[in-house]
Amino acid sequence: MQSDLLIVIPAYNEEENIESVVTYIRDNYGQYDYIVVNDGSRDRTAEICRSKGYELLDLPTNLGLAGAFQAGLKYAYIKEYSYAIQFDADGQHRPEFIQAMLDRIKEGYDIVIGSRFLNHRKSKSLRMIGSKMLTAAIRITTGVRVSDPTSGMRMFSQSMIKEFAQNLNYGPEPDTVSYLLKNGAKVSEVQVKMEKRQFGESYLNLTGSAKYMIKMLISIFLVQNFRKRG
Amino acid sequence: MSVLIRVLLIISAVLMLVFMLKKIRQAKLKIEYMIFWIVFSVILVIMGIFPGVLYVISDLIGFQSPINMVYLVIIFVLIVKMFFMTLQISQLEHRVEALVQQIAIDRKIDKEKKKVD
Repeated sequence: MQSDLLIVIPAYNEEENIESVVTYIRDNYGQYDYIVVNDGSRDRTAEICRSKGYELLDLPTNLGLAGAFQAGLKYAYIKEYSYAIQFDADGQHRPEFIQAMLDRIKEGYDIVIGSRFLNHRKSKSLRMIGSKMLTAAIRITTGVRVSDPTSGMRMFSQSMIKEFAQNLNYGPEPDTVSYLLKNGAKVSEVQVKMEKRQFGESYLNLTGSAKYMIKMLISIFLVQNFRKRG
Repeated sequence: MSVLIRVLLIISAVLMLVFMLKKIRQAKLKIEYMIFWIVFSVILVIMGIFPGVLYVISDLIGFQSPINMVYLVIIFVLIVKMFFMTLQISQLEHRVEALVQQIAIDRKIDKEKKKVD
């Protein structure tokens, strides 16, 4: 029996984390289907997945998060899943919050974001300033408050799965959320907790974060206004 | 235009052409991508050999000196070329992405079918 929900787990060089993350989901949350998308990792990620018998989409080369996630959603679309959730392979996301998000999306939302800051205040780190700026940018352009725009834990409905699977410029990032909000998508947030990364470095260092912010702000304020949907 | 600039124009155009032809010989370049560079270098050579034409045109438009027009035209042509190359790269990247995704999905679904059989 296929479940309603597909957990899409993009993984790039996650040999240290992938096993604990996926085994935990498989053993404790067997009611959901999952798929690991190995994004052309150069380490043993794919090898581990194969030896453990995980459900695996093995991309032959590295596409980046957007391409890897889209591969997962294309698979979800082909397999006709009703919902798909983006789930990090580094152990930051906790599967016990999936049910709450699933309940919420079944109320008729298009996107449900697992937010760290719905009921909690943001701390005063540099990263949180970035998060606040994106929240403000989305609020200014769409009038909607998204408390945690950079959260990587997002659930999508069937119509969103189709749209993400078939189109260009649908990266799983705040600018896409802003664009979809503007086009009438219904977005909701559920309070979740997240862990620190278990092993390895986040791909966003200081210069990377600065580039990311510039890209997102230009995209949200300028580029998204010119897009044609459909 | 000084003789030096004319000679430089001709030499650079010829070098460019030689380089491109070499790449064709080595089978590293598709012929359709060379057309632009052939036309471009021929125009440079013509400008170097017959600067009189440039004087007439630049006078007509009202440039202070023909060399200004040469710079402007070359910069403009290259910017346009770069713009279209960006478009091409984006399109190419999109195709590679689609291919890579399709390969992975096909493999997965084949595997699933084998399991069922």
